[in-house]
Amino acid sequence: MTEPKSRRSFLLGTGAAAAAGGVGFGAARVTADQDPSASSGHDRPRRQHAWADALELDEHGNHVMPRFHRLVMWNVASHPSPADVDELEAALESIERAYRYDHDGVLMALGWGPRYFERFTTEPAPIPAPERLSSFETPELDSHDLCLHVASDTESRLDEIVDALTNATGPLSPTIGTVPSVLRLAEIRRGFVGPGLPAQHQDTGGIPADQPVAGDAPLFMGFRSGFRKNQATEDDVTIEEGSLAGGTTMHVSRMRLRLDSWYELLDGDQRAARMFSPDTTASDARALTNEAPTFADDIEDTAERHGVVGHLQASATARREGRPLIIRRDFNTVDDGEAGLHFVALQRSIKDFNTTRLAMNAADTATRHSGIDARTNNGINEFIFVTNRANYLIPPRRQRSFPLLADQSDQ
Amino acid sequence: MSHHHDSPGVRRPGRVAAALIALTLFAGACGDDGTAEEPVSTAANANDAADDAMSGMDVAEDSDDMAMDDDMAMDDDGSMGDTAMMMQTVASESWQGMRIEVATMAPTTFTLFQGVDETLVEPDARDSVHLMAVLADEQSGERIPYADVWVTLRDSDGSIVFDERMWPMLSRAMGTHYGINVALPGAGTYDIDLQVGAPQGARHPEYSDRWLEPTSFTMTYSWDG
Repeated sequence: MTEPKSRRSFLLGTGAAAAAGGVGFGAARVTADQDPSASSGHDRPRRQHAWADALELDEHGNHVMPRFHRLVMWNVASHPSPADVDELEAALESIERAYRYDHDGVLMALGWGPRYFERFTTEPAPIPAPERLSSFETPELDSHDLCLHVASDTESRLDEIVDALTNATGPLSPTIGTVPSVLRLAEIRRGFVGPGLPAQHQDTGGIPADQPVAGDAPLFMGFRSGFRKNQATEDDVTIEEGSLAGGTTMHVSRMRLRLDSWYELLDGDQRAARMFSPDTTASDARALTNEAPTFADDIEDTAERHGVVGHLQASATARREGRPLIIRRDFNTVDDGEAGLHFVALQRSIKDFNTTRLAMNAADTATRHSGIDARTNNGINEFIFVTNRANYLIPPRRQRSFPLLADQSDQ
Repeated sequence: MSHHHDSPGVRRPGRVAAALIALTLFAGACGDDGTAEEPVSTAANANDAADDAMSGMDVAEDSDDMAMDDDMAMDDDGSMGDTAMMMQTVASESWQGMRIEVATMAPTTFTLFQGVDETLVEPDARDSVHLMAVLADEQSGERIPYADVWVTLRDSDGSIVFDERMWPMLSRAMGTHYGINVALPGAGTYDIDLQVGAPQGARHPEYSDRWLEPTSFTMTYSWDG
């Protein structure tokens, strides 16, 4: 029997050459055995995580994330058949045919959890199970088999896509395929990021009733993130070798934000100190362009002098040769009526995420000032409650549907 | 050496919490001449310690001892014993030889040390109780500092009504504990989820094998309003 992986590489490996036009909305699904040149919409990069070129740039050259996001998690009920592989791939391709590859169209990336690899492939899981990552948090360690991150500047489009994918309902269902029934929907997480959206959503748990989130804030905590030079590049996070070369890893955590103290007991400079570093003022933070200085080398000295550790300052101690290890693709949420953050991070290895998150704990700084402990005066640790963690492997696009799937006869 | 010279240290919560609460108690009990260490090691539980503190209160009140000026536990009438009695244990759990109690008292004023800045937090009209987590060795009654405690209260529908980390706190009557003022929506029964971190202090041998991972408990709390 033909191994699905090799069929996939035949199908999508030359995607960039796909002819324009040809298949319109509502056309028959493209199956895995069809020649890609027969359809449009395959002109997406080999890397699923290659979003950068499809994003808007702000005046300082920072990538601007799409404004709306969904994370859709499924579990795999039984060993997928070749038809399941085709059906999933067809559903994903139908989205790509229907929308442009940019922030105004749809960007997506599909990742697979360690339990998928353990159960349905013959290779060891290329990513570890999630870990707790601090001495003071007890997050649920998710075990979903797959997670689709889908993003767009148009929120209604995301809901319609998710409806079509999961229920074969909604206005798009004739156009967008449905995932195979072997996938059981586990969870949908929703969110947004960008100026104005947090303020519009601040009537929710975790935010003081006087609605302190600034009208132009891109995130609930009031500061911008994702400065270009504070992020790894897509090249940095791409897996270079092995059977999943061209892919990346994705950490997906979920946290509640508790911003009463953040807004009621701290002023702007105190918030900037905690978000960036004690040597960063609110005015400095507002003036940032494409790089937030980390002051990571000064962390012990500033901890001693100020009794405060900055979140960026601590996280940046995890850099390798001066470069950040992860790309942040996180977004705010009001899921379950609580202000929160869905933290999506891409890195070459989950170890890079874990290293960064452990650095954010800044555990060592507690020895530098008696006013600092795991949460107290320690970055933003006091204001976030991590509820879930998960790790996924995002294969290159041609392997995204049930990657490395073993023949059932091999099992 | 006078304890007055140590008093700025009282302004530091967190890491030095155990030593400083003991220092405060000793200053209250014995005035300025002793050393802090010995009474500390024998103050087996908060009630004893509070009694010790009460016995010396007049001495301390007349001094300019900063710990007394900043007293957070004293009632309006200055009666330490009333404050201690007003504390109510509402739920408890056991964790590897640690007793974890959730207790309440009237909403209280406290001082936070936010780096080099101080912030006075006063209860506002909405606050229902001062909620406390008291961590202690089950055998000796010694308080256990350096943990991180987060409390989440849910109503009978499962909706979150309160969700915050509890500050590491010092108080004469209560000793070292973790606390915060809580506004509840009304009388009723609430689920308390308490997330307790692994205590981060260096450990004597008897504690080398326990409390190494954070944990969480769900307890029930009925508030009469």
